[in-house]
Amino acid sequence: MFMSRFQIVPACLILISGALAACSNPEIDQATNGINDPYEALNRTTYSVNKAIDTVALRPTAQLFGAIVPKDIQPLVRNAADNLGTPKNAVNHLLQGDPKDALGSTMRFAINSTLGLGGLFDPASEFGLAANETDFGETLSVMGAPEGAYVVLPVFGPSNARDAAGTVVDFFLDPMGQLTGADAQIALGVRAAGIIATRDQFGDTIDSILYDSADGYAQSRLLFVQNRRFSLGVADDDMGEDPFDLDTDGF
Amino acid sequence: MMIWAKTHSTLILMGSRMLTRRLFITGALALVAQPSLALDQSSAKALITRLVDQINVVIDSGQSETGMYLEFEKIFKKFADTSFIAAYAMGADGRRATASQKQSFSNAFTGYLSRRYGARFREFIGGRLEVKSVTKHKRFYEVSTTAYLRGEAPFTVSFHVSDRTGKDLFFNMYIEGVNMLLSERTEIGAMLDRRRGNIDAMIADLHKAG
Repeated sequence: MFMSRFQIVPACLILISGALAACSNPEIDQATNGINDPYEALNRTTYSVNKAIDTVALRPTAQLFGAIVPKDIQPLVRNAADNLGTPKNAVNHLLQGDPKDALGSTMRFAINSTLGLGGLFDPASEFGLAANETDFGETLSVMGAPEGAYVVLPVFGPSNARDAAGTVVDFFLDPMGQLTGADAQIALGVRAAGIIATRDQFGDTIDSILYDSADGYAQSRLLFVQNRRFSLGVADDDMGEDPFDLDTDGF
Repeated sequence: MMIWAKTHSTLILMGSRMLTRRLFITGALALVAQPSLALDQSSAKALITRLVDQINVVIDSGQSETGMYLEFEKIFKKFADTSFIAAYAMGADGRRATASQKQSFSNAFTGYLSRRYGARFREFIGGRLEVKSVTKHKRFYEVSTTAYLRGEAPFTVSFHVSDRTGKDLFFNMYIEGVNMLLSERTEIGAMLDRRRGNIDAMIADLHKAG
């Protein structure tokens, strides 16, 4: 019995040293920017499907939205969609052991749903209750769950193992999921409109990744991973490179 | 989707927000002032303040897009450690580049960056960038700024400043945690892959990209 346990140790050491060797290889490191992406082939396929969905559906709809809906009205659509996400934020703040933010999000939802006319306006920000988005992926991170591998989810796009789990749990956790009948239909419509409005708002920049970049997959992966770590406050503190370390001769 | 869409838009921003008059005056004063000799918190901060100011003057000038890109390129050459940025962007492939390839890459890359980031500057007219704090890292300073855009929550843009070359210059920029140098090195790597590693062909493509 003890024998078998000891036999596992060398096997683990070999695996770990192999992984370390892979990490320290600069060519491999540069290819994925050190991001753990073991399912890259599958992820690239999903990325292509998502991009196709954008090309045929989301992008043209967003362009139409941008052309038809007056500039002053566009933020209201995004506000209304964001407002529907606020109860989910409150629940996650609470799960993260942060009753202050949970209360803030609850009050924000109450103010914007009433004074803000169903979330169309954002008076809560004027009262110092700015948007404070979170999700169950962050809750898992706070609980100490590791990030896991990079994954591209169908339709939802860039994610990782932890956030993918979070996305599923949020679906059940969200108090707005309790809505039924016409209310649920309206909420769904508002959320869809919010996605369209956001696609329009960041149109040129999203286009530049998806359609102008030499490798949109690699760019979106890099962007997601870094930004997600930054927003969770778990980004590498040792910010980047020593400017004196690089050989710049000739450049 | 929302998260990365939002972040990406900020990538394009590059700290280009229009100035408030007060900032402009501060910047003008900073320009007149003698540059300090050694890099410290206040000189790092002054550099970024001047950078932001000059970009905003171009945005406000209302000239043609091509004219604006040329102006941005001048500003970039003046404030950025262009040789570091180019060397970093080329990464490991830089080791097999000839001296003339390095030189022409550096030139093409500077133009590309000005077009890539400059093309979006005018979208941000009406907002502003405020210098918030300076942090000392091992061998450089990080100047954190907050970007205020119309209809958007404020977000963080930070510049990394060093005196590696003997002058205070910025050599990297992070927008909401996204490392500009790393994004550009990824892009150049992909452009090289597309040309099966042919550096000259990649440089030719770079002249048209952005």
